[in-house]
Amino acid sequence: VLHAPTGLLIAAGVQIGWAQTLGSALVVLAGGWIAWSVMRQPSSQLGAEAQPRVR
Amino acid sequence: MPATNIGGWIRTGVWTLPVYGLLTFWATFTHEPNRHTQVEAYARYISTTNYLAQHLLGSILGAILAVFGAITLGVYLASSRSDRLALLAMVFSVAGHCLVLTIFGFSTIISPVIGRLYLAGQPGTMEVNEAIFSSPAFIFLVVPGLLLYVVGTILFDVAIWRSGTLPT
Repeated sequence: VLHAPTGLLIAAGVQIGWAQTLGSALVVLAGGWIAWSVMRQPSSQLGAEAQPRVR
Repeated sequence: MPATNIGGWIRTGVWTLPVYGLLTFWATFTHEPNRHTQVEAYARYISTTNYLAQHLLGSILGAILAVFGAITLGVYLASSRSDRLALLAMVFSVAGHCLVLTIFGFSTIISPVIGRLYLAGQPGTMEVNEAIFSSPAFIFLVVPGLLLYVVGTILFDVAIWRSGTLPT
């Protein structure tokens, strides 16, 4: 949810300076949240589906 | 490639997203004066070492990290049920960042020179600056670049939401 408006805010910053600052602050929060959530997942789950499955 | 390797790459690569945000936050914390109404202040601003550092580290390095982040997020979501959307988001985001990088190159290399020449008593250089900003090439790079970036970000959000693999 935090990540959703970041693109628009950073792009709008071309005309409105503070929008970029706000957008990048949201990128820090949303990116940190995504990274933290990924770190909490077991290594075996990450990219596991890319492997061929053996039945 | 073993899944553990992919997992390690994703775990490392995903941290480029908040670092990109931090660099962009730093680069955009100060805002340049209006180049139409405060010409001399603008020329001084774009001539500073701080401006150069903000564009080299904040904008260019930030965009490179954002590209790595988009690829990582795309790979992470590739094994989810929103794989196609994630692929599209990754392509849009990377293309958007690459197009905008060309403008960062202009701001890093050309703008400081223009500022210094203006302050050295060559006011015509600001007309060159304006001519570049309003050139068709500039517009053809900025507008699609920003649009691709915005659409890529929104598509990533929808892909994350649909994947159900990350808390929203």
